[in-house]
Amino acid sequence: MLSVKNISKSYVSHKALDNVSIDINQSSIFGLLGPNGAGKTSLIRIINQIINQDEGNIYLEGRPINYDDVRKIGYMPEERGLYKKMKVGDFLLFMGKLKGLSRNKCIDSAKLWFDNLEVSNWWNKNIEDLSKGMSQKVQFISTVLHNPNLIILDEPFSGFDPVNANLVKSNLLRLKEEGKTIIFSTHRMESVDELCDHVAMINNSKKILDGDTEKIKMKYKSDNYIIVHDKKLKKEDNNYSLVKTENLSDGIYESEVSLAKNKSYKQLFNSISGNTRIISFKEKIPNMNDIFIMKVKEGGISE
Amino acid sequence: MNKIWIIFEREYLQRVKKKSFILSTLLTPLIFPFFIFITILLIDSDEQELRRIAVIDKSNLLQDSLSIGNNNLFKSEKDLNSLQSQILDGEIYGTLIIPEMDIYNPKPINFYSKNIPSNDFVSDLERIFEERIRNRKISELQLDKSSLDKLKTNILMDTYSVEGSTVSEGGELDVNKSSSGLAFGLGYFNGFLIYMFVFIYGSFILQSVLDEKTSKVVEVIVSSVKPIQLMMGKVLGVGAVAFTQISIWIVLVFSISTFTSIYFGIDNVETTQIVNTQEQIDQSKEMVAGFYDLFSSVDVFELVVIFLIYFTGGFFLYGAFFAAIGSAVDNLQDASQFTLPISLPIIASLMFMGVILENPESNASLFLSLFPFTSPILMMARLPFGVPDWQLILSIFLLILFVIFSLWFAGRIYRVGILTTGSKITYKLLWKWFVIKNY
Repeated sequence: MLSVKNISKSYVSHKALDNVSIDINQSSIFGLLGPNGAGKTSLIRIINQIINQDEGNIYLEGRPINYDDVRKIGYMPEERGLYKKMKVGDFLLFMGKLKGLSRNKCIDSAKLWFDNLEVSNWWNKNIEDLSKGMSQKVQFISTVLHNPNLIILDEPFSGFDPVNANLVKSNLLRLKEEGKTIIFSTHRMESVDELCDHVAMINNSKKILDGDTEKIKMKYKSDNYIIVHDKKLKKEDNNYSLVKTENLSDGIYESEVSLAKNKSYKQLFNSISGNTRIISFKEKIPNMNDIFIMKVKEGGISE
Repeated sequence: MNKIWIIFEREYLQRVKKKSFILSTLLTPLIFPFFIFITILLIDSDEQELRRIAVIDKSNLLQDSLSIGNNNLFKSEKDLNSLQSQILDGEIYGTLIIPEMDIYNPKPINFYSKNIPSNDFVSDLERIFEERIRNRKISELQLDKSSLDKLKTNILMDTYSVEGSTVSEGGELDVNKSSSGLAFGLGYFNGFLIYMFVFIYGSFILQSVLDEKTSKVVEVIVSSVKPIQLMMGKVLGVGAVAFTQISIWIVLVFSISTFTSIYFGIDNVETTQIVNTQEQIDQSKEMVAGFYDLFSSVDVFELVVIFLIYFTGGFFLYGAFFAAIGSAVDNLQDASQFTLPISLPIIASLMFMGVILENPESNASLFLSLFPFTSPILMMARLPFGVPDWQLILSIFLLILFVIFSLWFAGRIYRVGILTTGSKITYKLLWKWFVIKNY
């Protein structure tokens, strides 16, 4: 649906993006990952045409993106902001009008979203009286008010407590089911594991990783296994070497073992089950957090 | 265009709905009449109390006791030392000592009091004793008082402007009476009003842009609106608020003054108790008459239209720069180093205003009333003295040209500035922002 092709961008003092390309499918959730200052926000701002790229192009459904397309994007920047002196309703009307909504559509849509996010009708509340979590919700509503097909969220879960973060997550999944495309950037990797179909990682202004979330995990697994068992294991075997063992409770241990080269997990299973009863046996799949830290360390933290 | 309108609408409605705006708009025109009223009341109440003044008269200028206004002068044989305690007790207001003197070479007379007497009081007493000495001279020199009175001449010069004059049927030139004093006042008032508005509303724009930047709301907005549209909507919105306020003021002032002049009538001026000599009454009557004369000579409609043109032009010219500054800095403290150079031409205009009003025809006046950074204030100051059409048109044309330029210039800084936080803003950096092609 959205293609970013060879984007480069330099600011007055430094290079923010260096030849970055990504492809995003319709009806999916795309995670844009990277440490602070990597260039995520610059990329998002370029997609939104808030700033212009030096080189490269953005295509929406195969054709170059134009200003009318941008207006249809639902964009929530990392730095949240509302007009403190306005009423919630006036603010939503203002934002809706900027997105081309009529007054009535604005009101209907806002009511719907008040329900979705489990808030009472805040239409006449002053924004300055809202708590932080409440204003985050208003911000989110103002982003999706005009029912955008493409939603871009910069760090969407910062500022939400776990309950409300889950509420937003379930709404994002619902939007995806409805066929919307969602791009979000984050450092919070657990939300990536839960939500993202696809991720791209940016570090030092370059894309360093890109692909389907599950495939990436498979690619970066290290052939380690987590085994829960009832007798201590030997340190080493010709099938494995023990990485660490933890005593969970009386006579129950959890061990991480590394499979020896050219051995299969069946051989490992047989070898261990000869000595001890296996309670559980699973391959250690890295989560995005591990991969993120690994890749960032590999590439060196931006100077 | 539609989006500029949405931005404009929000900015405008948010501001005009504020209580502070409504109060200041409705009350400010009443403040001046109110102050005048209070002053009259104070002076009135002041007059009630009689002030006794002891006079130690060594030249025998004062025959007996004398009352002027609420001051009662009486002769005293005591000396200053003994009168001093009476002054401090408040028993008498003060002591006047007239030394022995040669009336052809008079010495200063001295007044001792607890408080410093008013200027009027001093000049009143000076005038009285000057007259006493004059009378004594007349009798000593055996001059004829009635022929001396005939020597007194009082010439008034009436000034007329031939600008816009017509020749009446009888072949006589029908000209407008002009008054340089009142032109001076009117010019000063107009110039000052524009100065005030440019400053106050310019800082509103700065504040508003800065608020959007610091509250981070700006990024959401510029994802739907181009920065230049946002800036234009904002400048227009704040400008419309200023325009609304000044229009309400003009209407209020005109209706209040019309109402008062109909209700009280011009003649009633003399009943106010500020004036207490016939001469002063005449003067003030003349002034008021002159004022109305002048107003009838000035085409009020034309004046208001030109005022609004310069008002709008000056506002946009400076408002654009204030918007650019607001977008560049991160807080109000940082803004001051940039607002100062922008404010200099405005402040300088106010300083030049005196010179312009003294010499409205000079080359310097011409230049300053054409130069767009000073023309909104200084052309308005010159206007009551009569300005040739070509100068007025050239001045407005230049102003419009510079308004377009300043909006363009500010827009280029604004587009970068509103999204940039945390960098130390220097003129060099602003220049880089200005010239950067892609942002």
